[in-house]
Amino acid sequence: MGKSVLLIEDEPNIIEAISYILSRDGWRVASHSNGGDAVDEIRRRAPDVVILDVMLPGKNGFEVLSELRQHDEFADLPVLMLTARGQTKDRELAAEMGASQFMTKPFSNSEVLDKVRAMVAG
Amino acid sequence: MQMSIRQTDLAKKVGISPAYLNLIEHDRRRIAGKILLDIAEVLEIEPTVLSEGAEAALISGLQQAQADGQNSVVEQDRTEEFASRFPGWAQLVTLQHREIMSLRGAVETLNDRISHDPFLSDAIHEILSTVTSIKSSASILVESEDIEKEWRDRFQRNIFEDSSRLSETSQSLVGYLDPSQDTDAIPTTPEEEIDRFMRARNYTLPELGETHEPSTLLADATEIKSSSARQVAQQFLDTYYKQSSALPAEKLGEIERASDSLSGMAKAAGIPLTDLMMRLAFRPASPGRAQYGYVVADASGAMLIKRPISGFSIPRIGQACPLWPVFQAFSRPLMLQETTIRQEGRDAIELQVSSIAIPENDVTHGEVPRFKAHMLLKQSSQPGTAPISVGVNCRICPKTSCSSRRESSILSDGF
Repeated sequence: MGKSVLLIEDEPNIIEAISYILSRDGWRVASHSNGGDAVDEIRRRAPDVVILDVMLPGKNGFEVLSELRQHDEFADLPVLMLTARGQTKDRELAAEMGASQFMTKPFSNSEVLDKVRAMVAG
Repeated sequence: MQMSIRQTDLAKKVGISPAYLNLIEHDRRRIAGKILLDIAEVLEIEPTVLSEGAEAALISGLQQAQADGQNSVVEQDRTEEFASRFPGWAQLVTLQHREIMSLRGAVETLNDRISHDPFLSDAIHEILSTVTSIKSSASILVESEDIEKEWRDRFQRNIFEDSSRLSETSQSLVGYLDPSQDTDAIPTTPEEEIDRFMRARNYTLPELGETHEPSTLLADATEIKSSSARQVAQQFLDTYYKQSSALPAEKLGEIERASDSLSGMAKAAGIPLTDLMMRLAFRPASPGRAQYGYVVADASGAMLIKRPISGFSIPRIGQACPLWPVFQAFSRPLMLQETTIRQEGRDAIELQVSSIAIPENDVTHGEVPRFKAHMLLKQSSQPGTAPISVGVNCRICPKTSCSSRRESSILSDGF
């Protein structure tokens, strides 16, 4: 059985596209659209990789990441943060909070695959 | 104590009796604490001026300016000497320092507002997310040869939905960034303000002389804001009013039907040729009647009046094409030039143009003439008559070889 990805993103069409390309690459993909209970969802699903958007309803991606890293069990969980192009401060903040990788919107499908694969391999 | 305010008023504002204020003023009571700050605030001066005297405040201000001047090296040990010997200059330095600090604060506030503007932030995120979705879905469609029909349909639908959303977000962003809610830039000259005023009224003012005087019309003109634009607009409206009174719309129509030349029409109307040009350019539109464009320029090339017409673009700012007949008219003043032009562009059409340069002042007493050139344009009724090729301005002109070109064009391939 392939490794699993939890995509935390509130844009349904992005969820659909990323889910499609990762599924075709052999990943099991689940999605969640709210930051408020994202950490509970991560705990429940125990994914190998998390893709986390910055702008989410409930709690933003930084808050979710910060909360996540406070738990020892998630200290090393690979998290790919989706930030907006040109928002340098977002990337700096994501690094401080413990993001494993960044990807800036708009990204390409091959970037998604490369980053997700690299996080598990590394 | 500065006496730009009456002593009794000051005492009242600060909440003390005039008698007590009098004692303070004559150094019979020490001033300190809240009363000191309140009096300083009412008088709009530094508290140290009251407590320690003007020179101490000046020295304090200079020291503050020195401390905030990051890389400047000043003779700190001679600050008191400077304040004492050049109190005017010292005062100027402290005032300018205070103003710099105030402006720096304003810049920081504006910068912070832009950085943290919730609408801008949301709109940018929305645009980037939508573009991401379109890019990702489109890539899947292009790169996945064996994609199932159901998935293909789904991604096509997503692209359609996202492109509609992108369009709406972009429009709302444009609307937010441009408070005028249209794509025009903010006017920067009086002529532009008048142009905006006229454009909002379809370049005609039928109410002028009927129900409105120039001054009442100007009073209601929300588009004209600056005082300099109001002055120029008043002159424009006065001229318009005078011309429409001299040649009402009905009579203008009769004359137009009876004569096929501008000179003949002006003669029949008994008005100067240039008045007739302006009258034709700004009359109300009517089906089956020719529409005119109109440009007035002075000898510097500045365009003072601009009335656009389909097929002829007029630059909002900057210099226009020197080949325009309105500029050529200066080389043969007082002579009416009739020609046909074609402004290069995507939807180029031929236009009949009449232009003339005449002095605007009375030159009979030896005064140096101040020329203005007038150009009236209308769609040509006889296309194919070897028109003169002109542009809008050099920056966006597609003509590859032009001896009048001032700068290179940003259009690499032309139209």
